[in-house]
Amino acid sequence: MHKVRLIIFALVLLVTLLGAFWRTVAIDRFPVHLSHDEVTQLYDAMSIAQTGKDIYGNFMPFIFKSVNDYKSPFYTYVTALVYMFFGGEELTIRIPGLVFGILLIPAVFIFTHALTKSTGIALLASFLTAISPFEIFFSRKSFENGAGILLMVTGFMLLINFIKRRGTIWLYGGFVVLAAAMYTYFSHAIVIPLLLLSFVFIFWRKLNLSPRQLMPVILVWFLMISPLLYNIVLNPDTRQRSKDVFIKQDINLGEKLRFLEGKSFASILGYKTLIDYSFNRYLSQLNPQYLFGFGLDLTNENAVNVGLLLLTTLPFLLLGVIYLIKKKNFSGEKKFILSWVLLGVLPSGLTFEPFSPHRSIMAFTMLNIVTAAGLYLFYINLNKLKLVVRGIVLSCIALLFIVNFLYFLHIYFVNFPYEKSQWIHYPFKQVSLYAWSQKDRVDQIIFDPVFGEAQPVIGTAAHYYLAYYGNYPPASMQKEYRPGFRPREVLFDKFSIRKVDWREDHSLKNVLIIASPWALPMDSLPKEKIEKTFYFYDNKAVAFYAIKL
Amino acid sequence: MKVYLWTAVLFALFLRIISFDFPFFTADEARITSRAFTLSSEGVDELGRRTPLIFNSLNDYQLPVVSYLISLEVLLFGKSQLAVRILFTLIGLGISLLTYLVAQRFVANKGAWYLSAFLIAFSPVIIFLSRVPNEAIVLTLLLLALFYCLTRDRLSWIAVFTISIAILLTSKSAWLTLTPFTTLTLLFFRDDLSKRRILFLSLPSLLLSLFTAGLFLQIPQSTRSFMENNFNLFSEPGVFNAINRFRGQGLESGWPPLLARALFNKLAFLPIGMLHWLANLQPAVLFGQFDSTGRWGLMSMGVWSKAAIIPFVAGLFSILKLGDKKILMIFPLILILTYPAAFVYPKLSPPLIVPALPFLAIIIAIGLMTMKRLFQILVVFLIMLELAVNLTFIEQDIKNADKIRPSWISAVVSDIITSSHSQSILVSDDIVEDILPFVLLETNLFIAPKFDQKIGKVIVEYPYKYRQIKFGSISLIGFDNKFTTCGREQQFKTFLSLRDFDRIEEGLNKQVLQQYYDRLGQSRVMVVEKGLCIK
Repeated sequence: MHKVRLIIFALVLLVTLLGAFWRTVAIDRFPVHLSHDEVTQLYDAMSIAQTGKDIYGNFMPFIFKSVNDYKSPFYTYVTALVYMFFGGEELTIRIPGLVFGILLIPAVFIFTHALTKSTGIALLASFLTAISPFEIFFSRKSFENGAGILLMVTGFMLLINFIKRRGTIWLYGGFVVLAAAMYTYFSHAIVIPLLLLSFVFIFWRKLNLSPRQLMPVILVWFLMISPLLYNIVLNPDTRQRSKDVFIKQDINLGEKLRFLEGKSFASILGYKTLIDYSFNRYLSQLNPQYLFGFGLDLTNENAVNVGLLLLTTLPFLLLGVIYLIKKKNFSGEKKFILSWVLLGVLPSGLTFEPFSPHRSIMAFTMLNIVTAAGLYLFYINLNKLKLVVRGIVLSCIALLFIVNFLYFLHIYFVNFPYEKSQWIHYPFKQVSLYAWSQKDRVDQIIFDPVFGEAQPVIGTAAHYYLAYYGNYPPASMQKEYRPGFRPREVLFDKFSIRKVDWREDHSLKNVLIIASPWALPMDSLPKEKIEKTFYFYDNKAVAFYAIKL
Repeated sequence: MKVYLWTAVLFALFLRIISFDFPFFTADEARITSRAFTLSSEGVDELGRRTPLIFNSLNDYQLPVVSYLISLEVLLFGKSQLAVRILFTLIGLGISLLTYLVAQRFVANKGAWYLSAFLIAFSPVIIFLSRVPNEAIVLTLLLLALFYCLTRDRLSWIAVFTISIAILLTSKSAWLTLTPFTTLTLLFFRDDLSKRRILFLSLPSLLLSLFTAGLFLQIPQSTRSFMENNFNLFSEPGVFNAINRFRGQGLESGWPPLLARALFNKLAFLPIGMLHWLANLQPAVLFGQFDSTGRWGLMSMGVWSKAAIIPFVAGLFSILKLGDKKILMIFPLILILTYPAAFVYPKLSPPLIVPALPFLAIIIAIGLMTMKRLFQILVVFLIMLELAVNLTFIEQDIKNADKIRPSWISAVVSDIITSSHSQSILVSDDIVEDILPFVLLETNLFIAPKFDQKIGKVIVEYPYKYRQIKFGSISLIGFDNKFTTCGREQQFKTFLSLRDFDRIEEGLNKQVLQQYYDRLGQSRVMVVEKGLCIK
């Protein structure tokens, strides 16, 4: 028995190491550039660690204004802790995501084992977690959701253990960890209470809790989440954030609602339209093309893209569903798994983007567990076949997995930077480093962040990029940062980040203008004044010109 | 129990009759209807061809069954849009009744038979398609009839043969599905026949399919028609470009070229097509939004009301749990009936999944039967309520689909026809998708265009995506036409779209006599009485 446990431990460790390898390999180079989310969180974390305030001078904020997208605070605070140990390297922002992503692998093993009581399924689930495109992608891109999922699976694992072992510590542990998970990401703040409620409802008999046992736990949980609730309900910034991402911001829905204006029952029909639209969006999250085809959106061609899950796992996911349906004495667990998936995609269905996988990661983690059950069922049935046939079938499946995984690696490491460099603000780093190198030569540096390969887009977080890559002290940023009077203008130090209007700006003296071809009159631009050209990742398309006046 | 069935049928009939003029016809539906009128009265189609087997539409060729079916009905009941709608209403009801019979082959529970029929009767998609001429609903009826014939105790080969031919002459997608559908049905529902005999009996359907497709391939533009409408996945430029681009990026990055070739190649069409096929059957299509254009269904509903998703999931669970071989066969049947959707990329193909709807209804019915009585009643009530609300408040759907179902065009067409009796008419060709079918629909006049007196034949023999630009005294203005002043004898009344109105140069008559507005309140047609000619 001891030997078996040792083997299982070794296997989990091996799988974790495999996952750790794919999460950390070339992490300093891929993604090829810090995204605007990463740079803002890193610089705010540095600001918090050094001054206790964000760059706008808010003391220990509950929500970070950042670039007016009001980010949830968890990841920034964790990064502030990492910063104290590792300093302000680019890698610092990626460390928490990596750590949570790697820890999730054994956590999924323990959780699945507790849920299904099957070591085989648990091992396969942790293996799938280790190699899933979405798990690897989000672990490498400094994303807070990973911490939330880790806490979620841990919390529910503790509660399942409470059912089995009846120790109060499991019960309290579960509720406390789940309360902490709610702070990691806004979608978790919505989903976890609902999931907890369904857990209690589904396992009510097995939980066998008297009101005297339950009330103190709920009280502790409620006390823990009350600051979060307070902020969600009363903090205007948090409310603004919720409003900004709510499905009502969708243009198509807005058009449908406009058709109702001035009609009888407009208000009731408006709600009906909203429900119809949200319901459709919610169900769209289960689109197989999205799950297996283009969910990660790493290229500019939907058809040749990467899904959240490996395509090879599709038949095993279906087998997993069959396995779970047929499994005896598993009714509660079945319902819980179904609730997890259905509630997990809820936030994505209520927001304005057609697909927002980062809000639904928890559902995909559970889909991996279901897939693991399918793989397990397949393996069991395979044992009925002759050894040779079994070998051939297993080899074919292994080959399919390898090809599918290689495909993901190729897209991630090779094509993704080419296809989407603009979306991670490439080459804002190069622009920032160059701007700082020229700072002493000029009186002012004007940066217009409008850029784009196919169409113009306003790049956000330009002041964060400039400040971070110039090692600009956050304390100075808090004092210096101010809005200007020109369109889109913000200022600090010698930098003015704003719209460039060449008709007026061409007459400026001793100024460095950095702007894209979208913002400059390319026909009349004096070519001799272009000091440097910045390209997108493909080194062909021009992103910005630096012009010395 | 039969009382329930007839009550459901009557209620379904009622649902099909309320707001009977909704939805307004699209240009193609108007073309099919007007063609049926000319076929029944003159024996020729809208292009003057005598009893052809291949017809014209804006996007593709059309097969003959639907057009001749309507013309037959017009012969019996007269020339009106109402008569056409009634025919399709009856087809919709026929599908309900056949679903009741087909359900008996899958489940022994009588309740599930009635519920299957009920669910089809109350499917917004079937109701919608029961009001407009379309091949999807005819094909569904025929496939159900074929299934019923194939699974009856006494196998009537004459019936099977006749229905199979009708199926093949209804829709091109049937050329792909008929043989596997027939074979699978025989394999799993005819225990009295040996496998060899079943394969032998399936052979005629294969031969018939090949023969029909082969005949079609004799038409000059048939390959183009296939590639543009049925297999456009394989000519999707985005996929080819992406494959080449990604290989190039791999080379630039120093990755092994062989690996890039192994990972990015034409095999990519396999997963792309497969996922696209499954996407056509995703829950959002079934219970969220069947069609986002308003061409194939209500835009705020899926195939069924939202509440039906609960029994659907319960039905899936129940079928998988029971593991009964015959009920399980419902899944391959659904997949076989819908697989042509895999090749129509990148948009979803709502009409291609319509033939599978009766089988999906059976799954929901099985799910409903597993629910407690109270929940059952609640779900059924919610299904009916949502449908009733959507059919009552159809204004939003009318507005959303205004571009392809231009309900405001009748007034314009009426003005054009009235004016055409006394003078020549010019009409912008972008007012709607195609305006002449609407004109043809409203007038008793028939003028065969492009008729070559010398050879005694129409010039356009196989009209692929053919757009008629002249109809008697009515001519269309294209984007390549320019406006000029007119001579004394040439005086046109002109119906202009915004595009053409803006193109009228200074100095020419721009005085608008009248304007026509669409349902969104936007000006769509401007009438200029005289002084404009085109060259």
